[in-house]
Amino acid sequence: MKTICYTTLLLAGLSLLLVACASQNSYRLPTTHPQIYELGERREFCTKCHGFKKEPIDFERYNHTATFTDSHRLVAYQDEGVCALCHNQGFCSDCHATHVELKPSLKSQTENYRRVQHRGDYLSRHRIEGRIDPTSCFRCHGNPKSAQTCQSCHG
Amino acid sequence: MQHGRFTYVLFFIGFLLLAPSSTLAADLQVSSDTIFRNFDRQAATGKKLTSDSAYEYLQLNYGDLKSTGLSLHVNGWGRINLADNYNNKDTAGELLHAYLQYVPVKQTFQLRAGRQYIFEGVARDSIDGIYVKTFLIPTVTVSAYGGSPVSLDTSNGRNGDFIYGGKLTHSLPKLYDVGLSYKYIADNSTRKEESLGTDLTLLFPWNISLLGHSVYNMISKDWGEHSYDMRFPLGPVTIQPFLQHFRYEGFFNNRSNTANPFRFLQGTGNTLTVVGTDVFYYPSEHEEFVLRFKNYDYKDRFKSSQFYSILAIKKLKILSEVGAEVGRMQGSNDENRYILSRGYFYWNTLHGFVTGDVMFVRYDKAIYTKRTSLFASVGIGKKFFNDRFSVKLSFDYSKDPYFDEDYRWMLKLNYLLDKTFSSLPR
Repeated sequence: MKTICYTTLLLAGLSLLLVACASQNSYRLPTTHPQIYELGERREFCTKCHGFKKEPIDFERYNHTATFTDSHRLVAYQDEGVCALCHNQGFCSDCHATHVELKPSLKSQTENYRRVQHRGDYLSRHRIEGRIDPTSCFRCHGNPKSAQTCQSCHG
Repeated sequence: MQHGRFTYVLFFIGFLLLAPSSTLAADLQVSSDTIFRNFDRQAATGKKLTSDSAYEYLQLNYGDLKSTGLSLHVNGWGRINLADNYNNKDTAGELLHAYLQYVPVKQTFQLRAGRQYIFEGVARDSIDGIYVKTFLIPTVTVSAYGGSPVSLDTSNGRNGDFIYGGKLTHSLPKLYDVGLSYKYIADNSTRKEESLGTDLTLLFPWNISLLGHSVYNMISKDWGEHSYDMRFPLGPVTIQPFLQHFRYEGFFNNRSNTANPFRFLQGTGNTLTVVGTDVFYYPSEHEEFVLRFKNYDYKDRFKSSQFYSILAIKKLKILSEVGAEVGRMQGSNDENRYILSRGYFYWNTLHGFVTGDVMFVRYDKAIYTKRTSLFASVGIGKKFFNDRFSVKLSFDYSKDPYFDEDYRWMLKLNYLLDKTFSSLPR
């Protein structure tokens, strides 16, 4: 199985290289988004300025909708570089670090327009949400260090 | 400890390397959050415990931050107890990241060295190591990383711990992005994670798009996750259906040093399929409505559950908004059912703000004899010195199954510095 996976990976890579060499586009993202106004202190819609253009990237999928916190992982997995145009790693670390002690909704208590996880009495709700969708817990609390939050009660 | 030394050495080298560039131009960004918190807790013995703690969250970025070049990025936090008998330890802290980054003028590659967070397909890990991403071939991005995973320092130290992996992405603007990623993690020289992942975006006519991610667990030899969503923008309405399928054997792992519930779930052989949709409606630039429906289906153990919610947001002026949300979790039995309602406002003033937040949850089955949770929070903030310094104060109240009457307050002092040092035109 391992050999098949590696071979598939290699073949896919070579195929992509061939296609890529035949193409012309050489656009590179800038290192930072132009400082139009202070970003990060609000939820922004990229389409407000960029419209529904699909070049150089599909701007619409980065719109910070009211539920973007729930689904942003898919765009981040694909190209974290687009996130990094406006957010440095420190912004992401509020939730994604291995050990931060204060949950994000506490650290940024007054930023209530950010729909971050665990707001309010989540201790009671987590019993239900953990039973219904435990995958959502594991994504952040699945490694040995971040699991320490769970271990004091769950072992 | 040896990694701690490595970090100090990195700091030192970073400043040495950056010093020459500062004679031309260098950007310095510092963000400091100093937080004072207080709350009371009643221990199982009946004794009342008080937490009075002070936190410092500090970020520093220095070098060529707004263009290509060399830069240093550091972020960490620390806590000290002040007249506190609640926390077990008097101090706590963590270095979250400390890395040097180099991007050449032509942006043909990006190189980072030090403690950093890796988001690359299947990788979402904090590492002490090296990351490189190349853009040498148009439309193709290749990245690779390797080092020691930070999350394993609680697991018999870090000897024999390592991580490596990479990602190959091909993008054709207006058509698709496709990525193939790989990750390997060893804990104390034993293979603990090995996964292959795919990321996909397909763009169709009429701005319709498909976005998704799949992960194959090479240890359990099973798919762990498939998560896909589609977007259909129809004028002021966007419909975003999604499908997620998890196979517990491939998604969770049974490491001895993670939490019990995850180890248990890994062995159940269960699956979870989540199907649903978000419907967004924007009657104007200042109004946002979201309807959400989710259906959870399992192979074993539970019957299906549903979640319904409606969210309405009105933006009144820059950074001022009010919002309301009502949601219903309709689990397969009373134990897994609740109704949630929330209302909040954030009102921006010339150099400050006022906030309010109320959340009420009613459980169909009592938790510790209580059927409701009430959480309320009010906050005020004031900005000074061209918004470089801000003071935020919040008070929280909670009455819920875990706490009878819980009062908390928090004071947050935030300082921002963004300065460019320049002696020569760039």
